Amino acid sequence: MNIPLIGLLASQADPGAIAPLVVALRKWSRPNAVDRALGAPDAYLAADSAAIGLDAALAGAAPVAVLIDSPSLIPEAVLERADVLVFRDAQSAEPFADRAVLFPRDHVSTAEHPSISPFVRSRWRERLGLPDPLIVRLGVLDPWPTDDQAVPAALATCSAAIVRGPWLLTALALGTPVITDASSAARIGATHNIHVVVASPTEPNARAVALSGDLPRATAIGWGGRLLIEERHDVGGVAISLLDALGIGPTGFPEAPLANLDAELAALGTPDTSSVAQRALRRAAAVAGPADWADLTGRRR
Amino acid sequence: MDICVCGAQVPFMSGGAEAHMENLVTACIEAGHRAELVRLPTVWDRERVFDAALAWRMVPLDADLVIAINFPSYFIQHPRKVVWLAHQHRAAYDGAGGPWSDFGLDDAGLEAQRLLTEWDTRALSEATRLFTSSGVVADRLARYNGLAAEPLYHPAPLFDRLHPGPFGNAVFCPLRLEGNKRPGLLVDALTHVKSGTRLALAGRGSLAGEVEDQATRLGVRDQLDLLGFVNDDDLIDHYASALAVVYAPYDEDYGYVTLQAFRAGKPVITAVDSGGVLEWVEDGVTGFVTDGSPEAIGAAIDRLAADPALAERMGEAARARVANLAWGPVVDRLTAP
Repeated sequence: MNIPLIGLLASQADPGAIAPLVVALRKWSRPNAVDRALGAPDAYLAADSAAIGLDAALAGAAPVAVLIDSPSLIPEAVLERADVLVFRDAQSAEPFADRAVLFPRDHVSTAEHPSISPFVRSRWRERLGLPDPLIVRLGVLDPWPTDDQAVPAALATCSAAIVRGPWLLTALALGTPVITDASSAARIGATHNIHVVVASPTEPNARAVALSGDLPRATAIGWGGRLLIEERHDVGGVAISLLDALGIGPTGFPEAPLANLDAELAALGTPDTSSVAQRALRRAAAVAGPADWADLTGRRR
Repeated sequence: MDICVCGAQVPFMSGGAEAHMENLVTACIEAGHRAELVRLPTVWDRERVFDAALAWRMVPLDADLVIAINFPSYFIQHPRKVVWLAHQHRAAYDGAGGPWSDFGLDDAGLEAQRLLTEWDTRALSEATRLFTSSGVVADRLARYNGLAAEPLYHPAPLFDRLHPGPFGNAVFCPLRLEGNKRPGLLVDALTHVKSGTRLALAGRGSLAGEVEDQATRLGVRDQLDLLGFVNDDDLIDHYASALAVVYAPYDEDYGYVTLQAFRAGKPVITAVDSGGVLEWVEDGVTGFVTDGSPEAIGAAIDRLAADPALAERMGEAARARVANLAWGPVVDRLTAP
C-alpha cells in the first residue's frame, strides 16, 4: 500500500494558515516539501495562488489543490487548471461547488479533543476532588486565556462552560455543554438548544447553573455541539474531503485488509491511540498476516 | 418481512432477556413475518465489551429489518435498524463505581467509560426508530446519552396462563437471589411482620445460603419458605394463591414480576427506588410504594393481611392495569414503516 505523497508548494504568505491542514493530512498522506529524492508527488497543495512552483505543478499531470485567500483575485491559470480550490468561507466556495473544499477559518481538530459526556465529566470531578457543579467562564470578563493545556483540561471536566471567543470550538469539540452569546453562536452556525444555549449578557450564569442541573439536556446539547464541530469545523474532516477531491482519499483504498475495521473504529470516534483501537487492529492483524499498518489499513497510524 | 432480532448471548446464562428475545421472535412469526434470533457471545469486563461491540459492527446481516434488543447488539449496522432497548451496559453508567462494575475512577476506567458512552451514542443514533422496554430505560438513555426514546411495553412471560386465585396467608416473591434484587431486605422486613404472614421466596442465586443464614440469625426462618427453582406450573400456582407479591429490587429495568403479579390479580409491595416497578405500582391503588425500609415493607404486608378485601380490590385494579398489554401492538410498532 502506497501512502500518497503530497507536494507542498509554499509562498511568501504566513504558513500558519495552512499548517493545521497539513498536520491533519499527515494521518492519510505524506505532505512534504517538493523533493526529488522522495519521487514525484501524487498531488500538490499550494499555500496560495502565488506559491512557488505552482505554475509547473499546474502544467503537470498530478492533481493540484490551491488555498484561496482572496476569492476575488484568483489568477486565470488557477481558475482554469487547478483541480481543487480550497476556500475559507462557504459563500466564496459556492460558485465552485464541483471542485471546492471548505477549510473554515474557525476550525479545530476533533481527533485532538475527544468528546466527554456530562456524566463522565462528573466522574472525573469525583476523581479529581473538584466541586460539582463546576462552571467555567472563558472570554467573558478577561482577555482570552492562552494556556493551551489548562483551558482544555478545564473545559473537559466542567459541568457547563460560558464561552465566547477562540475557545468556543474547543469547548464544543470536547462535548462541553456551552452557554454563549448570539453573535458567537451565529459565527459558527450553532443553533440555540441544539448545539449551544444562547444567553443574553445578563443571564449566562443562571443558564449555566440550570444546564448543569439538567443532565439529559446538558448531555443532548453537549453531543449536539460535538456533532456540529464534526460536520462543519473539524480540520480532520477537511483533510479527508481534500484528499477525496484530489482522488487520493482514504475511501480510495478499500482493498486494504483492515480498512473496514479501521474505518468502523474511526466512525465510532475511537482515537488512534486508544487501547481499544490498538487491541482490535492487533487481533485482526494476526489473521491478516505480517504487514505494517499502512498496508493493513491504507493509512498512517 | 424478514426480521432478525439481535441480542447478546452470555453462554450458560438464561433469564428475562433471553425470554424477551424469544417471545419477540414468536410474536413476529405470529404476526405473519419470518423472524429469527441472532445472538453473539458477550462478556462484561471493560476491555472485552468493546470487542463484542466491534464484532457486531462487522457482522453482515441481510434482512428487511433488524431489531436490536440490548448491548452490544445495537452496534449492528443495517439500513433499517430498530432498537428496542432493554438495557445498556449498566456497569458503565448508573452502576459505575458500584460493587458489580469494573469501571472505576482510574485513568483506564474513565477513558473506557468515555469511549463506551461515545460508541453507544453513535450506534444508538443510527436507529431508524428508538424504543425502550420501559420509562426507566428511556430516562437513562436521556441522562447518559442525550437521546430521546419511546417506552414500548410488552407482556411478561406466562402472561396468557396467569390467573387470579384465592388470597392466602403468604406473600410471594420470585427473583434471582442476587444483590441488586435485595432478597435480604425482604428477610429483614419479615422481622417487622406482626400478622404471622409467611414469605415464599422462589429462585436461585449466589445469595441463597446467605439469605437462609440471615433468616435463621434473625429468628424468622420458620416464616420463610425458600422454594428454590420453581417450574412454570408451580410459579403460576404461587402467584394465584398469594396474599400479595413483595418485590423491591434496586432500580429494575422493567420487572416482569410486577406484570405477572398484576396479571394474577395480586397487589405489589415495592420500594421507592425500585425503578421500572414504579411505572406500574400506584401507591394505595395497585399496591404499596414504601420508603424501602424493612419496617415499611413489614407494615404494608400486615395491612393487607389485616384487610383481605383491600388486597382483593387492589388486585382487581392491578389486573385491569395490565389488561391491554399484548404482543400484537408491540410488533406493529416495531415494524411500522
